[in-house]
Amino acid sequence: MLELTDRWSARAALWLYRLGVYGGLPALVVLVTVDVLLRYLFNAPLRWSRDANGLLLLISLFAALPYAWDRGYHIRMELLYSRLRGRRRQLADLLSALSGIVVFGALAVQSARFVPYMAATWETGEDLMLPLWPFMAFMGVCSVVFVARLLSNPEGRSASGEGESDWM
Amino acid sequence: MDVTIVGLLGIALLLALLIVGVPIALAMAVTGVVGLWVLEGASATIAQVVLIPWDEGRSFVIVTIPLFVLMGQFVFHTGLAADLYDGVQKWIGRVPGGLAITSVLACAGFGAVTGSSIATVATMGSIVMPEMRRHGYDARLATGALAASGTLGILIPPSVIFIFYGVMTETSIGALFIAGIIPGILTALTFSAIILVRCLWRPELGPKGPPSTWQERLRAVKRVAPIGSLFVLVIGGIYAGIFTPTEAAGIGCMGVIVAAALLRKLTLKALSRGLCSTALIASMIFAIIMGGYLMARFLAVTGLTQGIVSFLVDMQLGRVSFLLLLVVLFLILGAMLDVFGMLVLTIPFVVPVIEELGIDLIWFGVFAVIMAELALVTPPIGANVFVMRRVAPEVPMGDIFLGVAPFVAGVLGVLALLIAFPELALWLPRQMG
Repeated sequence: MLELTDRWSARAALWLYRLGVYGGLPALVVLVTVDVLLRYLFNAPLRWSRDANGLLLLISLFAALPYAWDRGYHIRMELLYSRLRGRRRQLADLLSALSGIVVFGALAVQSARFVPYMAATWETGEDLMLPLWPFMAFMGVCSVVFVARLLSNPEGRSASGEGESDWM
Repeated sequence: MDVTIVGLLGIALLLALLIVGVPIALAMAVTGVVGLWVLEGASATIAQVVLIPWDEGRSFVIVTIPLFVLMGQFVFHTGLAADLYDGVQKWIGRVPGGLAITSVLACAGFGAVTGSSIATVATMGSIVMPEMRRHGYDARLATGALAASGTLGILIPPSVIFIFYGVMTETSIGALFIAGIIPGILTALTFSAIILVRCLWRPELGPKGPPSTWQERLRAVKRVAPIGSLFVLVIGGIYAGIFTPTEAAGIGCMGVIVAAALLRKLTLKALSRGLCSTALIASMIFAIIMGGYLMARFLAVTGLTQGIVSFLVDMQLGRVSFLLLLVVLFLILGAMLDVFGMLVLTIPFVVPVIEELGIDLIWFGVFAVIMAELALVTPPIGANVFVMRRVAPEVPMGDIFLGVAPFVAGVLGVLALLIAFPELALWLPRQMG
């Protein structure tokens, strides 16, 4: 069961990440730039750009969360953790995973509750007349995948150990 | 149960989770959730868990974080930084300790287009360290100068830490950026002066670099131009009130792409690498912001923050004594926590006191970033030192920390100046358009 969860969630995390990297982020850069250029060159800013930027940001950030966990992109106090070995280390990892499961599990449950309400009331952005419920659903889906990753990979690094956070 | 006791238990839980190594974002988020659950019940808590990321995850201000990270990543992966070093080296290389001074100025220049300290050390370290080795530089001086100069990446705008602070305290990110310019230049000059004095005293520490002709120097100016233009475009645009920080970040990203394309340095691989790292870094920062908000909301409900503010204000410490207390606190926290963790844990408690004492929040942002700089180079964490060690594996960690020591004294000197003359940080933001 855990193996199956590991397999589908690892694949889902990668696909979500790719969506954020090659979809959300480039679109964000292009939209911000085009809006500035339209405003200064043609005095014709895009009224809906702030709403759209916000939604693209949400997609980019949430899409990368589960994969960031797999790649070890999280900051922790290493002082004691790096000295832990064996079962103690496993316990610390389990505590991390449990913390994440509580928060993102709650997020997934509540977003599933909000989606039907938002769809029924046809909630849209202020200027962008696009229904918001798919984005709330997307946040929920990312949270489900993240919870699955926490369950199947509680130590928070891919099995190959590649790509630990080394940039920030 | 009394709300204050719940608050204190919450803080104890948070500290316990942090000590065993639970990631900062998750530790804060789960403490906030559990605490709010106890005080406000399940339904109100779960609603908060969704509404915080839903609101913050669509915030126009937070768009700035991935865009400035992306800009720095593009500069990093397209190799524009190497030109910057070459350009500065042609002018400064011949003075005693010239290559080390060049590395300080090149780090300051690189910091002007990237918001990350570690990216600055990693990039400049790999370019400058082989040169300094070749010219027989003292290993302590070389690695210490590079590790310390990397911290200029977060003080000279744009800076991810300034954005993070601005989001957490709801202060103007544009004003924070501008406030960092003079202290950033002052720090770079202090570092250069430290190197020059040491190398004049003991020339064997940093021999003179290779000579350059005037023709080479003039040609070098052209190589520095792309980074200089980007800085003027982004920070000048914010200063003049033409762009918001978010718009400036978008324009900056496009600017790097155009500059790299014109210089034939733009590759699909560089773009892809930049996008990949940015998504991971930005989501990590966002998770910390989300956790920080949940924790702050919990603390607000307990009234603990207000209690601490009253306690500290009643002590009548005064501005300078309180700031000195904070220097000690940040030095201790910096020995245990990463920069983000240090700020996110202290801001909810410290900022209300700062406001009560009448200290400007923009000025305090600069103060906090300088303290974060120290945390990056002091043991046992000193993230920049760890990166430097990867660049120069032959130099023992202890030697790098010793090499950094004079620069730490320099940073403390700049901090003292900033406390004595707050206008050093506040004058430029007051002139903003």
